[in-house]
Amino acid sequence: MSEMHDLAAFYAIGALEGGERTAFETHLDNCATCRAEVAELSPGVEMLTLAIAEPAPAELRARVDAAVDRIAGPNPVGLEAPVIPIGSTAALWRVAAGVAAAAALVLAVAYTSTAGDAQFGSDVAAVLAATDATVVQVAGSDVGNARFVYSNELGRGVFSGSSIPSLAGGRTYQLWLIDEDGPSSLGLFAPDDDGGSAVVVEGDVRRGAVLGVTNEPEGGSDQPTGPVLLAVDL
Amino acid sequence: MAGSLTTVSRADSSHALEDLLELVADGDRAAFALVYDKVADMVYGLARRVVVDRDLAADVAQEVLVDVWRKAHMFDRTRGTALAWIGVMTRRRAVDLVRSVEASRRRDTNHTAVPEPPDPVAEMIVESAERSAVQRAMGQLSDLQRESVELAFYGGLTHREVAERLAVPLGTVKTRIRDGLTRLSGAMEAFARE
Repeated sequence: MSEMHDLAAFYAIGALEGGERTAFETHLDNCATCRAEVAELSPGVEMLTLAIAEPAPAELRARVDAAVDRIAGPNPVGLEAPVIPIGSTAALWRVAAGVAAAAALVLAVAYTSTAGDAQFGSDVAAVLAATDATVVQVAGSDVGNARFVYSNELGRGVFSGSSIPSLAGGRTYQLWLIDEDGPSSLGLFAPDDDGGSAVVVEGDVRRGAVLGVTNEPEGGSDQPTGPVLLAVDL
Repeated sequence: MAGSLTTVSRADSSHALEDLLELVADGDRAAFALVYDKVADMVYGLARRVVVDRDLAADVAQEVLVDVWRKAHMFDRTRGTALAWIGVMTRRRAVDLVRSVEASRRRDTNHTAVPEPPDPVAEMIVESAERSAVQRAMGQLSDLQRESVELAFYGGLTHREVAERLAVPLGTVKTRIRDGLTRLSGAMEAFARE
């Protein structure tokens, strides 16, 4: 059984994974018959979902709201920032402002911190200390020297850069996480006077995701539109 | 619109989930709160069915609900219903977690665990108003259809794994799942009209 059409029911029930799933989704773009079949089977999947409902723990709502607050809430901060040294790693500087204007477009979590913010410093230290901390580094890229450290256990990552070239007026850098569902914005950043920048992101970084940086119009974009300056497999 | 709350009249609980997701995609927290009201128990219940442990299920549910916020703009009505989209997203998150837990357990103990076949859905805990409708619907499936549908959805097996587990060709599994889902779809539509 090698026909794409035969996979529609598996796709509808969520049993296709990885490359096969992506290939089928591409096929769906071009096949009205399969789209119709998937749509027809969809209420059946609804039934399977509602059949299994169980009262969620009372504190779940607050946890979800807190996590969404961190994504949806803009936390603008000034440009002046002292260096926050973290152990032997590259120093991290505060993220430039510009998040507020793009808050509607920033779909994943980024928050900024103020100088000497104990929370920021300790969040970063916690990521670096996590047993599953993973570091991805790129030197001499179009965005300067970039480093991304993340821990899925903690659900947090820190993107930092140094020697980041300034952009022309009206442009900003935008950080993306590209996973099997497509690109999600992680926020905007711009180098401070020393060419540094940092973004703290929350959520998990699934295997197979790609971290990307593009050059976007000021205020950021819904989807990557500008030149890709960095793309790193996580 | 930067994360602003819209007025209540734009998002109310009589709205279909699909319409609420459209508002969520615009950053409407009130709409998101209504989405939570409608789906949280289903997301948690499905996560629990797959990962079993209550704390892990709550973690999965939290991640899925935050993903609904983050990815509402990716929902495509022409590809199926909002609840099916959320259900499949939940299944995937829960299965990923089970696999990574099993993988680290294997690494730690050098023990290759054979995944236990999931129990059939013996008891479904839903609102009493819906319970009999859902039980009737599941009862309408043949045993073979129910088995394949449960392995693929609640069991989190890929299509090939279902075929292997049942020792039948992939085409047979396809037919059972497709026919099972078709029957459930019919029941769902009848139920929605009541």
